[in-house]
Amino acid sequence: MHESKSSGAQNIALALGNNLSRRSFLKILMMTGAAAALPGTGLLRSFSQEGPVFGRATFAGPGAYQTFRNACPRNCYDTCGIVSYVKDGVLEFVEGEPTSTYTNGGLCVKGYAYPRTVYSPDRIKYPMRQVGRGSGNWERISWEEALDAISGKILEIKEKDGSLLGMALTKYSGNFGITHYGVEGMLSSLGYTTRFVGTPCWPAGIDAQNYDMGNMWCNDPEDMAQSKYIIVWGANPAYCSVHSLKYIYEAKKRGAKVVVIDPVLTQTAVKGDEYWQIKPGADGALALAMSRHLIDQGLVSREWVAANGLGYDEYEAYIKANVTVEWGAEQAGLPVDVVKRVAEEFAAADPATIWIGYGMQRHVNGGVNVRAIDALVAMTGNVGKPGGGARYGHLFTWGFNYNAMVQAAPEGSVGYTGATGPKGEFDTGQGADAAATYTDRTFNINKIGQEILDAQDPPVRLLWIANKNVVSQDFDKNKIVKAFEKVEMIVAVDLFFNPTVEQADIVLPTVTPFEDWTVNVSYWHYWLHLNEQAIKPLFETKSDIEIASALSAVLNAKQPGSCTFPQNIDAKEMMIKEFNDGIYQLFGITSWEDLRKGAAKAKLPSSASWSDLKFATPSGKYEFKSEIAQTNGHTALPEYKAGREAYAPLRLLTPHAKHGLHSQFQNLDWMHDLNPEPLVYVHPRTAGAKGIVDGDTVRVFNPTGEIRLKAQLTNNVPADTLLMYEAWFGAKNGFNVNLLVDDVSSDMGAYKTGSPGVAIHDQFADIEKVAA
Amino acid sequence: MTAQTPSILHFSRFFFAANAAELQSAYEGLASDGAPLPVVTDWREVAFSFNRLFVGPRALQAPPYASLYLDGDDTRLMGASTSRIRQLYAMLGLASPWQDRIPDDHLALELDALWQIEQALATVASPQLQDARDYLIGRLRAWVPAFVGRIQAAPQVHPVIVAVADALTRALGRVDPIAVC
Amino acid sequence: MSKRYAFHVNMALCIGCDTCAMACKNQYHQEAGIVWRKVYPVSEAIYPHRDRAWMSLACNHCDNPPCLEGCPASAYTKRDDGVVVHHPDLCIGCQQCLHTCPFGVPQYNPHTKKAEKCSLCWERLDAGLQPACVQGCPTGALTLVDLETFDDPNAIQFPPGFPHLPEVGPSTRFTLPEQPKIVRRES
Repeated sequence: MHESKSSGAQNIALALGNNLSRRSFLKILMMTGAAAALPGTGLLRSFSQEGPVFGRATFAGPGAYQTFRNACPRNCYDTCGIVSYVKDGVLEFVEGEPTSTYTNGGLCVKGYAYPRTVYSPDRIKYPMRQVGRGSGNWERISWEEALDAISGKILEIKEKDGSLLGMALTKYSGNFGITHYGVEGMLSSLGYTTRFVGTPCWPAGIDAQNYDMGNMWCNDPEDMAQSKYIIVWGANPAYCSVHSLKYIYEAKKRGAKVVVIDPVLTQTAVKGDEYWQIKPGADGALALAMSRHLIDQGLVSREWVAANGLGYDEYEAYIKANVTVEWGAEQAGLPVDVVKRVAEEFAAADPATIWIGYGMQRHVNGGVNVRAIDALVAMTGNVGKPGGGARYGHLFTWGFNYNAMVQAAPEGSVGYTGATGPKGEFDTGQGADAAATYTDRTFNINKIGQEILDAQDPPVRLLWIANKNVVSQDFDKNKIVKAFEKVEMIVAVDLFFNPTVEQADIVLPTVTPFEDWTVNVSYWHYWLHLNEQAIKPLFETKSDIEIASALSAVLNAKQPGSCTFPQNIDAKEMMIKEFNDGIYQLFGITSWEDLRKGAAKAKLPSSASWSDLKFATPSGKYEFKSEIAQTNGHTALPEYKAGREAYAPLRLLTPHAKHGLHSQFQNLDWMHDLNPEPLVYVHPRTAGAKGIVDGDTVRVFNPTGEIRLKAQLTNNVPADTLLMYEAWFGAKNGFNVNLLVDDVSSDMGAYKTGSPGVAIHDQFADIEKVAA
Repeated sequence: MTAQTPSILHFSRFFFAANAAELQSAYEGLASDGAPLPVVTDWREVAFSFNRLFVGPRALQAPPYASLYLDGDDTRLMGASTSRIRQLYAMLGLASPWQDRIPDDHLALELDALWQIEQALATVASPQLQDARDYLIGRLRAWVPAFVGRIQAAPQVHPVIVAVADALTRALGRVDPIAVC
Repeated sequence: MSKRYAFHVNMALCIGCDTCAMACKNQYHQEAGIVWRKVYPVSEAIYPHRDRAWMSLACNHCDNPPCLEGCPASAYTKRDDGVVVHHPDLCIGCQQCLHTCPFGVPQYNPHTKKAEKCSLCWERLDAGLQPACVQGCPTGALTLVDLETFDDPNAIQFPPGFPHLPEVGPSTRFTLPEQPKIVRRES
């Protein structure tokens, strides 16, 4: 032992490893009266007569742990089930859920780093107040003080403005656990407020699938194993959905062909049979060209489009009049013969499927491009088929009660009187009161900087930020920081001191999944995972609904009736209240407690979405021609739409990283062991022309901002493209791709999520070498 | 009982302080013990520095948890050394009300245990308690210097906190000259 | 017949996702800076695309382990099932094994002042479980095989870039990565 060399101390050191010795030691202290002489009233207290629970002293075999079921809630296709191993109240390690065939007993590089998140000494531990925003002068305050300050501001705003529209919420995907919609519930329970609505992630594609099929609904990813032909189009599951790869591999093993279409030679791309380096944003043109070739060759499934399609003839007429294979191939930068061959192979395979990634819809023409790809799958009769489908995502398993989310406004609340749309993709309309005079005011979540700068009558006075690292992850960082200067009070709820917390006035410490009760489903696979509280919440951390409940108590004490959120809640009870018979039936369980034994999978009539070919569109058909799209300002048909004009010499792509999920995980020390620093990937020819060699420090810049970092030379990226993976590397690294990404909208998203998406991949920049 | 006994209590309370008022109160306790400490004019400034060092919300400059220094892993709380000190408390019939929430090896808790042992030894002669005391002093001496080193090296550190940390080092050096390496 | 456990690294399936490396850290809590399993990128001279083919390596649990032979403290043993176990309680931290291992496997831990390495999760094996890294691998690229029965005709012992040391007899077996047909943009 390093603690001491004296024999008495050594005895103690030895006793610490021995349960029996410790017990007899205490017994002697008690018999000799020494125990009674200890004050027992300091920070440490004498424990009750039951005696202490001594830790296990010997090596812990697999049976020596308590296990709990958890789920990774971090906005990922895979939404893995987790088994947590706890010893003496400490989370020692995690494993993948073995009862889910999807998670299959394993996690990913991020999931296995979780113990590091929980026990990082850098977690936010206490409510704290910054004296002078951005000053770095923080004082610790109690929950009571924090909630007193916040509730005081809320009442002040109501008094001053006559409404609470001056209080705004921006929240997204830091935790997709169902009870975390209690954040929205908290705002509703206060009255009518301002909501930043929409999603930065996938809205254009959601609208596209809704126009075409009436909903976004994908096949079970596990049925990809049955596909005979798979096109992975703008998705990179090798980084973003590692558990899906095994189904693609299985399909390959059974003889399927896999084609990967991506601007970048991704890790997924080298696992296919064929890779196409498409020009970014030309996806629609390519899909139209392939469709033209199918028409020319008589390979369209006439029977399918006649029975199930609406407006197919008009679509075909549009293509014949406006599209040639040669034109589309040229737009995409690909050889005509290759485009023709794959179109033919795709049509011949049965079933054939396309996985439409979220990356390819982050363009000014992203939504309509998804529609053109959907149409390609439909024209070949592959929609509604096991092993087929235009796979994008689904919300099929999300039919919870949203008990925490649905809260009534306090009586007499005054709000917004203009028209509003849905508040994000998970807005089921539950709890909406059609007869209500007032609503919330909605702002575009993807333009938070601009919206705050423009907001009037009232301005945004109090901004609540939860499950979101706005300053890292939202667009045009510099504009956001400037806009924040207008806001009177900013409250951030978070795990770590990130660039958003840096700009907050009050920070509230929150829990990891292991300290929380909730329930999780995926927008990709069909499994349901319970999330149990495996360990006590560290320090003074609280979950989102515990915060809401505590705020409600303070507000009601100050002004009875001013907040309807339930007070004195029990997090586990709140989790139970999210379940209903529909969920139980869908998953074939009789109680939420069944999930303590393992994960449950939705009992699907078919692994295919739309297997009955009854679509949720107004016509009940697959709508090649969508009147709703036209009403919403788009073309009724998935017509060609040009991409964004370049505003700098090189295309800039900032997709998702291997070692992080948005701004989570990459800040952890273990992740730094595997991926120590951000890089910009440059084609050797481009680098050569600028005198840049591998490892050089460079400046990447455009009118929005600039970043300095190291360059890595690789022909995985095209010569006209720069690539950086988005991430937050922690406090010591200011890397942030959104210094370079502006907030220009994609074409679709407003219909189903309330706001259009962002053209994240329609960005441009230049690069030059700088002194290191 | 030694002259330094009350100081250990005040050191414990100082490092456990939640705000400027508690820092001031513990500091006055230390000063009344006769520790030569500078005069403080602005306790808020001390609290800002204290939070940068030990509390947050930024990454901590000098986290006050033993396992980060003793286990060779300075980025994970609740390590083996945390478990060991919890076992020691249990051997004494003591437990932290913050168990599993605040790591048991927080400096203030370890100092509190030492203070309680000293209190008991003032009234009873117990070789077991003496052993526990030796162990605890040895343990504190094994990690507190590295902890104090991080305080001294921290940017923008308030001189009052450095003074208290230095006083703690001296106090631990004086507690028992015979027990440890 | 006794088993001869070995890792099979199927580079055709491996996506370099680092899950195996992190699964190991998750199990053993190595301090930052110490990695028992590492996923190495295959050089462009061998696979033509940078950072697109990977070799996931830990201890190779050799037939004739030089670490064991050179250890003055007998801190290494080879089990009947082939697993080369490092015993920290016997290790004197002399770092001899760091020099004798031709694969650079043992790492010196400055805190414990001892060497350490992958011991193939022998405690998990004895409990009937897969090694942490193998259980974690999402694509089936990393598996545990018994060389007494393993007969994959495509598997090789010495892929390009891996030291050719038949006399040491590393147990790890490899399947080489494949290349897709690549259609680059005509610019």
